[in-house]
Amino acid sequence: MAMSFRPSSRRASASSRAALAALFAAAPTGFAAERPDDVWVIRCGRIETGTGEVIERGAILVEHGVIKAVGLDIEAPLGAREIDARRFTVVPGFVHPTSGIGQDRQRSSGNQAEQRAHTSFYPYYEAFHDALEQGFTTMALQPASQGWLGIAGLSAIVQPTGDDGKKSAGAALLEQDVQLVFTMNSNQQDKDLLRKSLEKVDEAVAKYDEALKKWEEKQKKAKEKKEEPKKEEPKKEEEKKEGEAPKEEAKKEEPKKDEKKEEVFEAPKVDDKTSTLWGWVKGSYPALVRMNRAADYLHWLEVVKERKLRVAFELEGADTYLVADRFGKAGAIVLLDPQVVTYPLTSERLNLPAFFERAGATVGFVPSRRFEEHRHRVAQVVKAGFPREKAIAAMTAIPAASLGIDDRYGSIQPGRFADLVFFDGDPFEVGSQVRKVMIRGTMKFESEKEAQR
Amino acid sequence: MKKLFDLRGAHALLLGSFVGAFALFPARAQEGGAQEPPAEGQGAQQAEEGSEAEADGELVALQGGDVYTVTEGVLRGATVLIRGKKISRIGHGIALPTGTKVYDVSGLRVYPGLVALDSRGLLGSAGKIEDTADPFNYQMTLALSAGVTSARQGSAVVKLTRGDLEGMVLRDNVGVSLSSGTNSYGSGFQQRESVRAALRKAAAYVKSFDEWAERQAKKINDKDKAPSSAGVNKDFVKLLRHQEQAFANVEDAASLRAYARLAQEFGFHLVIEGCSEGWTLADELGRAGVTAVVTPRNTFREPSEELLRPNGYSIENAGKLYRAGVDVCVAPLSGGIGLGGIAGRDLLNLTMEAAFAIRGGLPADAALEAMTIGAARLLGVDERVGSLERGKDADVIVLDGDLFDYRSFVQYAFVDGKLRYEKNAETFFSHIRPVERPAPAVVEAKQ
Amino acid sequence: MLNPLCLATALTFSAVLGGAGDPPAEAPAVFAVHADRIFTCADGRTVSLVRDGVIVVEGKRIRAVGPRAEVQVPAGVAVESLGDVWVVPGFIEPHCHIAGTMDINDMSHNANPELRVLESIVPKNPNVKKALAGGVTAGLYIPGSGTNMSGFGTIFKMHGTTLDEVVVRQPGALKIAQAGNPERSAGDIGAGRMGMNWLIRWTLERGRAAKDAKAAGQPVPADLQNLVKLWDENVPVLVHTQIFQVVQATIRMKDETGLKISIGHGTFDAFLNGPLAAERGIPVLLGPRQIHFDRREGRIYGCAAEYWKRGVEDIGSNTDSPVVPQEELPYQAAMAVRHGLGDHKSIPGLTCVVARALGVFERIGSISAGKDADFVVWTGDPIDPRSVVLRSYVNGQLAYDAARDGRRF
Repeated sequence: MAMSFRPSSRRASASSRAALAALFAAAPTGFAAERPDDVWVIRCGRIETGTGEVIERGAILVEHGVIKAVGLDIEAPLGAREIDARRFTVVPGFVHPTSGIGQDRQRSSGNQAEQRAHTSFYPYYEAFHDALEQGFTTMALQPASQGWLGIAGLSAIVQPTGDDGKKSAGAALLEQDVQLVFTMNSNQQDKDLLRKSLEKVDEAVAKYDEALKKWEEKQKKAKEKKEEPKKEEPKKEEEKKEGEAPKEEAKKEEPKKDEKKEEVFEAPKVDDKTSTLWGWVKGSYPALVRMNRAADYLHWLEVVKERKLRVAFELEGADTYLVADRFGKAGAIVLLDPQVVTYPLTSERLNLPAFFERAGATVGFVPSRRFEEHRHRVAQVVKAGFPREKAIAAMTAIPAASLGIDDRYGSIQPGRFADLVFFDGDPFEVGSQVRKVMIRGTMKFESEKEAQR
Repeated sequence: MKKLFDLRGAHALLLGSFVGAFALFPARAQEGGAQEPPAEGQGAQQAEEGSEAEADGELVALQGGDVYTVTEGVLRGATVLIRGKKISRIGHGIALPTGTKVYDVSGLRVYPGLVALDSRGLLGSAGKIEDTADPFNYQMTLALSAGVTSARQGSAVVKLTRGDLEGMVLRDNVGVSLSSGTNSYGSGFQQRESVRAALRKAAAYVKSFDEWAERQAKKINDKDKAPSSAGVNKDFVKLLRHQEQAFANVEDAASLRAYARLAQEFGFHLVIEGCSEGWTLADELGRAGVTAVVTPRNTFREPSEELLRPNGYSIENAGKLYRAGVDVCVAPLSGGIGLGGIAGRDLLNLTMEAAFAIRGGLPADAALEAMTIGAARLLGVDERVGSLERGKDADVIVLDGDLFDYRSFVQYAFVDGKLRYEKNAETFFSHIRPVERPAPAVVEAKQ
Repeated sequence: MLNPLCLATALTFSAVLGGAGDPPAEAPAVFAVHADRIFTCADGRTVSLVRDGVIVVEGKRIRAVGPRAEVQVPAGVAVESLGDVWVVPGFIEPHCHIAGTMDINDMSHNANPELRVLESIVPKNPNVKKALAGGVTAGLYIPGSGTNMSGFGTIFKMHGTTLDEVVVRQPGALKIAQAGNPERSAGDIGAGRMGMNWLIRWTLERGRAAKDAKAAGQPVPADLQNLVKLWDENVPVLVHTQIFQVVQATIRMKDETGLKISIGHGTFDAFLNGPLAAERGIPVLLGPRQIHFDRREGRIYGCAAEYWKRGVEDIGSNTDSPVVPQEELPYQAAMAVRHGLGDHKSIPGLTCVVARALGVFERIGSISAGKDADFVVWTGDPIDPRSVVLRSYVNGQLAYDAARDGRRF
């Protein structure tokens, strides 16, 4: 089931309504086959959609694991079943943008772009259950070499599945090759690596374009030669021919062997590392760039120059606040540890996430500690000034956006998977607990308290 | 002085009255001396707007300070107008265009940023500067707090563009070393002979090349081929053509004499670092036209009474060299910034080393030059930095007292026209004798 | 650092100490100088500036000092006018190691009250000659900090040929090093602060017991002969101490023993103890670390300024020469002032404050009648590195004259 859904990697990270509608149509139909009659109306006490919107006493319509509608007046379709969640505050399932569960965290440096996180995915870790209990429903699985130097490879998306009472796997692999992960420090090695890798992509693109152009020219010439006598044939037929050209023409005229070969364009060979980078450069997937210092960002800009790249940043060092305005101006997604730090060389407190938020950056949170701490740590940052209305998004929609999957995950909006967390109060109150977790329309977790009711 | 006649200056002269233009350049009338502000009504307002309105860059004015231009005297209560990265105007009665950010620095002193002849650790990294520098590291901030705005770092000269990578590297590959590496003149006979041989060869090449070039110019013979440069030391050719300066770290009198004679014989410019016993042969060094980089407290060797000649350390080294016609620059005991507790012996108190040079007889204005234009010349960056002149980089420091007073602090440091350090706004020294300054005001459009 | 002179002088020691001390019975030479500014430091605390003043020297001592109109110059004595100069008392270095040979870390035991540096003094060595050119005329020469109690120092003058001439007081002070160096000599005990402080306490207790026994007429053990003088003669204790916690221990030592203790070095964050030191009147003799970089606050503090802010008035400077050259003693004060200490504290901190801390103010540290004629003629503010020493007088003699001897610094 898990592998049945495989999105097109060329999906754009669109956010407009029109694009969403289109996606909705194309989205998770894979589930329909599983539960054809699975239609729910969830009546909620309070919905925080993850887009900043709060709906009191609203409802969510879920069809076949996908959110169909959300709002105050939701009409239940015929045959829909109801879930009474009026005791609960319902939020999107949390998105972990940087997990490495089960990965060996091997030390590495240099270019490891060919590495694929999904190849070492192992679903039987207890940690997946821990994550689920705390409301995490989508997790990026980073390549094993993440966190070290250089280019680590491509992340996958996994999902805790709960044990379903079957004591089987605790997680499922949803998508692979979702995001490129690398570290960019202000050192010669990292900078050279990125610069050279990008140059290699440029070379490969140029080579490809040149080869394609040559091939097209040849094709054109060949065609002109062949088509000269048939100039007066109707246009319609010609169009049709284009699509099926090789076969038809093969029938009509016996081509020479080498000519036949030329009819199929063979792209110049590219090594795995370069093709991975290429995928990022052309926008097939975004990248997560890890940085430690403010200077790293300047060096990053110096390397990428005018390139338009899909990218989010994971920032660690406190001195990164020095370039917060530049991230802000660029409207960048910035993933941060939810904590109040100290300004470098001072004992003054700095709410780094709030600082970046005020500077105009789009802030998401990285659960860098235990899963059960994450919500409380975000609560601390909120208490210290991070806007409350952006806090849920920073745990859901923004991390999803950093992965380029926010059209499917991370918010309670039509077209997103029905990954929902049911809290018995404000998620940022210490006493509030996760009572239930729904994944794709199915309750996968129920707390002990809830079970005892 | 040559900057006075650049295009901008000519433009301004055309637009303003002659008196106004004159007020802009009072140093012309009274070079080297202090200049009092012009009397009321005397200094005609110089129009800034229009003449350069099309030029890019933010406008910043430092108003009312005593401006130590280094090359064009001292202007009391004058204004330095910065446009973008460059100094646009210096003088009295400058009309400030709308939008100019005005720092009232009356009662303070305005100097060109200091040029450090050697530095360590200011970039927060080692390696290729463009790829590894951390322009946010606090050592750079501290260097700015010491008034340093440019510094040699390894073979490069960098500007302390705190917060920016852009514009950081001013130039690279400074000088040809004659005391280390393959071109070392060393001390052994054979080594010295081989260097002299290489220099002779280079000189012969330069001569024959020039002769050839002359013939070419006259078109005497088309088949005349350029002389071969095979086996010619390219560094030495640069020295002989005065495209580059020679650097040597030399302390004792005998070696100093040998190096000076070499420079004199072959006619290249030699920069001697160390130069501890220079005072004992100051005249010879002066005749050889060398530049000495002196560290007045560098006790290379205590004077020995067993030697019959004058020898060893002397606090008067810088002063005596200067009086003998040697260009003197001053370097601190350490080019780094140490925060272990011992104060006043490294780059953080660069000016104090110069104060010790003054103690030893170096005139104060020579010490100021040594820290600024002299050092810039030595590093080959004097076209850009080292003095306050129109068209030069807006690297400016503002102090609450004399540059060489042990109590003075840098209040503001600008590099490329951008405020990079402000004492009151930084933690490092803001608690020490704070000088209250009004926030900068912006010139509003006239009604 | 062994100097050929040391052998020669060592040979003369016994004779000198044997009591041949009285000056020749000729009439002492008298001379008088006039200067625009004379900083007498006569009250032991402030600069006590005399404008347009005259100093009359008779033999080794100052006969009179004051405004020109008030000072009586003996008949027949010409007053030499020095003009627009600053005359200040000779500076006193409270912590140095340059008076002789450098073999001053005799780490025979962890506490060595039996040792004294007197044995290693070399008068007129190059370092002291240069010190005179920096305006320094006297100092406390002490053993190193290799052990918790490394022995007794000597207060000496930078000019003179014989020990008799150079020694101001022997024993000058006991050197105690509480932490931050003596660990290196530690064995089973003394590797940590508990052990080190116990060694110090225990040794001082032995000294006190010996003092009591002596008062009762009993003999004093040879190794404690000098230690009993801490009580009997009020010989001061200079403590090598730094960082907050160790200086706390120094203050505790003061409370427990009541001895005449000075905080030496006192650097890093130790100034936080300022109020405690101020309350007890403990002098703080700072250097060569004059600044403290507080990484938590990102601030560079002047140590002297921070003690001062916290109420400590007796603040002096030291160089710990040769850690920092002896002639740079005034530069230590320059750095203290640069980093926030009041201007008016700088000259007293090099003269009378140190003299009082070392218990020799009745002889040196000020320009006043009856005291040693140790004073220095400067071209300007002696704290300013640009100023030059023109002359240094020690014991009424022209010990250094830039014009006569050539500039040494």
